[in-house]
Amino acid sequence: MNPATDINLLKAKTALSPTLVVLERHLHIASYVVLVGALSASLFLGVGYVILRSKLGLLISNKQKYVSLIANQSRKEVLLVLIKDRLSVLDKIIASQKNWVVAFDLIARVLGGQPLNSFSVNDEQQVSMSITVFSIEEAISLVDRIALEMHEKKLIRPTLESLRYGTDGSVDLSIVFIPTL
Amino acid sequence: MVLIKHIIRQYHGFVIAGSILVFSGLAIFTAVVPGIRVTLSLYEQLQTLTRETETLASKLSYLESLDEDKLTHQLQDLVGALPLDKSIPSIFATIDGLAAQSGVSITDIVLESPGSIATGSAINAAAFKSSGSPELTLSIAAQGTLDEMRHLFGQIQNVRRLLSIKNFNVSINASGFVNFRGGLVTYYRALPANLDQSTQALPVITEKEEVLMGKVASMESLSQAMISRSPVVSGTGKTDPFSR
Repeated sequence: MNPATDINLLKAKTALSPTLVVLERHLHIASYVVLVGALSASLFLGVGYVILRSKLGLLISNKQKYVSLIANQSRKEVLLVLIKDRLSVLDKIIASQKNWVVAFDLIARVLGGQPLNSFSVNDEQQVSMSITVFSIEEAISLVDRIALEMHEKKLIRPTLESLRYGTDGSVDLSIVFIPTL
Repeated sequence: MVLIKHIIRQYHGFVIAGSILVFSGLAIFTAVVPGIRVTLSLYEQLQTLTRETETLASKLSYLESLDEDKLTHQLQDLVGALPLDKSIPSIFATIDGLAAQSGVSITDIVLESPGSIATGSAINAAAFKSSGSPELTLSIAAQGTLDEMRHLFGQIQNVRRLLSIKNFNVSINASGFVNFRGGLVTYYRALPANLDQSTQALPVITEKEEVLMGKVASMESLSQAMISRSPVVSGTGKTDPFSR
C-alpha cells in the first residue's frame, strides 16, 4: 500500500471521552444561559433606563413649574417665614412671663388684714416679706395661714428668716417663700 | 498549525461554548454592571426629585391657601410684641401707658446698657437669653397704692410690647402708700439675616401658633405707632415684606 496515493474517506475518530462529551454539553447549555441572561439584563436595563429618564424629565419640568409658581407667592412665603421665626421666640417669652398678681393675692391671704411693711421678689422668684404684728397670737395665726397655703401648694419652702419681739408686744417677722405661679 | 487545527476540530464544541461565555462575561462586566449602577443612580435621583416635587406641590398648595393681607396683619401684630429693633420709645410709651391705666406714678426709668440705639447691629451673643432673642433690662421706680400696683402687675402681661418682671421690691409706708422698684426685661428680634427660599419644606402655622397669634393680637397695644413696621428683608433679593 502506497501512503501517498491512499485517501481515507472515513471520519476521523473522535478522541473525546464520554466525560468530556457530557462536560461539553453542559458547557453549551451554560454558555447559552449566560448569553440569554446577559442579553435579557441589557434589554431590561435599557428599557428601565429609558422609562426612568423620561420620568426624570417630566419631574424636572414639573419642579420648574412649581418653582416658578412659588416665586409668584414669594411675598407670602417671606411673611410666613418671618411669622414662624417670631412665634418661636414669642412662645418662649410668653411662657416665661409670671403672673405676679397671684403673688399679690397670696400675700394678702397670708397677711389676713395685718399691715405689711415691705416685700420683694428676687430673680429666683423668691418672695421675701417683712411684717409687723401686734401680738404673739397674731404671729402664730400668720404662720398657720402660711402653713395652710403651703398645704394647698400655693407656696413652697416657707422660711422664717427672722423674728423680733418688741417691748411693746409687737412682733416683727421676716418670711421667705416661693409662690407657685 | 496542523496541531492547532486538529485541536480546534476535535474540541470545537468547547471552543464555541467558551467563546460565548467569554463574550457574555465581557458584556456583563462592561455593559450590564455599569448599566445597573447608572440605572440605580437614576432611580435615586428620581426618588429625590419626586420628594422635592411633592414638597413644592404641597408648599404651593399651602401658600395659595394663605391670605396675604391676613399674614401681613399677623406679622404686624407680632412685630408689635417683638419689635425689629430695640425700639426704646415704644418701651417708654408702653410703661407710660401702663402707669396711666393703673394709676401709679412712674418716678424713674433706667435702661441698663442700651447699647446701639437703632437696630440689632450691635447685638452680641451674650444679649441672647433663654428666650432666644436679645433682651433689654430696665429698672423702674413707681409710687401708688397696693391696689394700683396689683393692677399694674396684672396689666404688664396684657400689653403687646412684651415685658417680663424679673424682680421687684415693694415698701409700704404707714399711710399705705407704696414705693415700688423693679427690674423688667423687654425683648426685640431683628429679621433673620437670610431667608432661605429654596426647595425646603415650608413651615406650617400650627393650631398652637394660631392660638398664640390670637393671644398676641388680643393684647393691648400702647406703642404700636412707635414700632418700625417696615423691615428690610436682606439676602433674598426681596426687600420689604410689607410693601405692595
